[in-house]
Amino acid sequence: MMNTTRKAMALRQERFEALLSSHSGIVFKVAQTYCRQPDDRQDLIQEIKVQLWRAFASYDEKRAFSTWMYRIALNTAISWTRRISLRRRHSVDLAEVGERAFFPEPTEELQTLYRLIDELDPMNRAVLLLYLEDLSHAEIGEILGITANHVATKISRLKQRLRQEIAEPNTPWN
Amino acid sequence: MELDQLKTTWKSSFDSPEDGSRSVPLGRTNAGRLTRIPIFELIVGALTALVCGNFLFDNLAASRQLPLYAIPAIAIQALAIVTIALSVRQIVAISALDFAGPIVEAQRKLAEFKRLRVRASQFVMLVALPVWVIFPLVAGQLLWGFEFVGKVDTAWMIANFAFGLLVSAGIVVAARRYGEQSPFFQKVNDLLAGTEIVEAENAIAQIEQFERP
Repeated sequence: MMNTTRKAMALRQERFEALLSSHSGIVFKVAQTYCRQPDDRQDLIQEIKVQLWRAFASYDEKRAFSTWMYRIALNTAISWTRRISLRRRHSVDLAEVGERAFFPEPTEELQTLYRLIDELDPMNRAVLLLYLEDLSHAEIGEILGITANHVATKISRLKQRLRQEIAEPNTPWN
Repeated sequence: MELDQLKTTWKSSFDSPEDGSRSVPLGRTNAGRLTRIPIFELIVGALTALVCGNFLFDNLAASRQLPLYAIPAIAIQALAIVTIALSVRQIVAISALDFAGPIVEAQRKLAEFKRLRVRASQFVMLVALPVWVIFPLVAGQLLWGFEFVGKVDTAWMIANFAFGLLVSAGIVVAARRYGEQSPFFQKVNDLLAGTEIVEAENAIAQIEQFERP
């Protein structure tokens, strides 16, 4: 009985590690979107993996692993961002430190993209990340829990925002 | 430059991801963090309600004759019941949270849970601490009998009430002085200043705004 349980557990872990390995880019990209300070990012990556493992028991194999993974990774990252920003309100500006620490010489395009990401609230960051990942509006909507039309509106606003960012860098956006 | 063009830039920046670890890190986790305090409060509240309820039941006849003497135990019983209700609400809220579910819904539930958590902490800080005097009164009644309240002189009552106020004031002063260095005092500071409730409200407002087409 004990052996069967252990074997099932080992198999589950093996299956999880294989899936995680083939989709590890998702974890990294989500972490990169919400935090660019290397140490903090590693903590976030770790936390995302723990949450994924904990939730893996209830993962329905009939559904796409990437959708399930995006949801957990984004939910973890958004919660982590809110928690960290409250904890560090009195000390340092996380986005500012992160940007300098991780990109010694970013290209102009990448600089613009990260400026745009830094200006967005956590929910809109999720939209942008999923859009950059080439997901369809319907897929983005499924992950976020909004309609595809609503996603289209959000993306159109993000495009408008990017144009403004290029025209007038660092201008606060309403 | 358009957003579509940036897709290529974005993807090429991940050509060599730094994420080296492939093993599942089971050792470190913050996952149980949210439920720990509500469960602790539920246990403390339930034990207090049990002890106080038992005490009041045992002294039902005496309470009818000397109702004033029963007030401290009734007050603690009320505090314990409120604590139980708040912690149960938090546990229910957190158990409804599904990180594998749609992000908007999960984040709204999480923000609502946090608002509830802050309110529960404020209740403890702003109500339970200043009325500290009733705790030693009931402790005395449990140890030396129902009549203990009648034997307590005014100086004892004033001293204990002052102690409660002093501890509360001490926490406030320490929180202001050491808020930058200690996470505990920073949390107390945020609770007193209402910063945490504002953060929770802002998160809810942000999600509501995001949901609007």
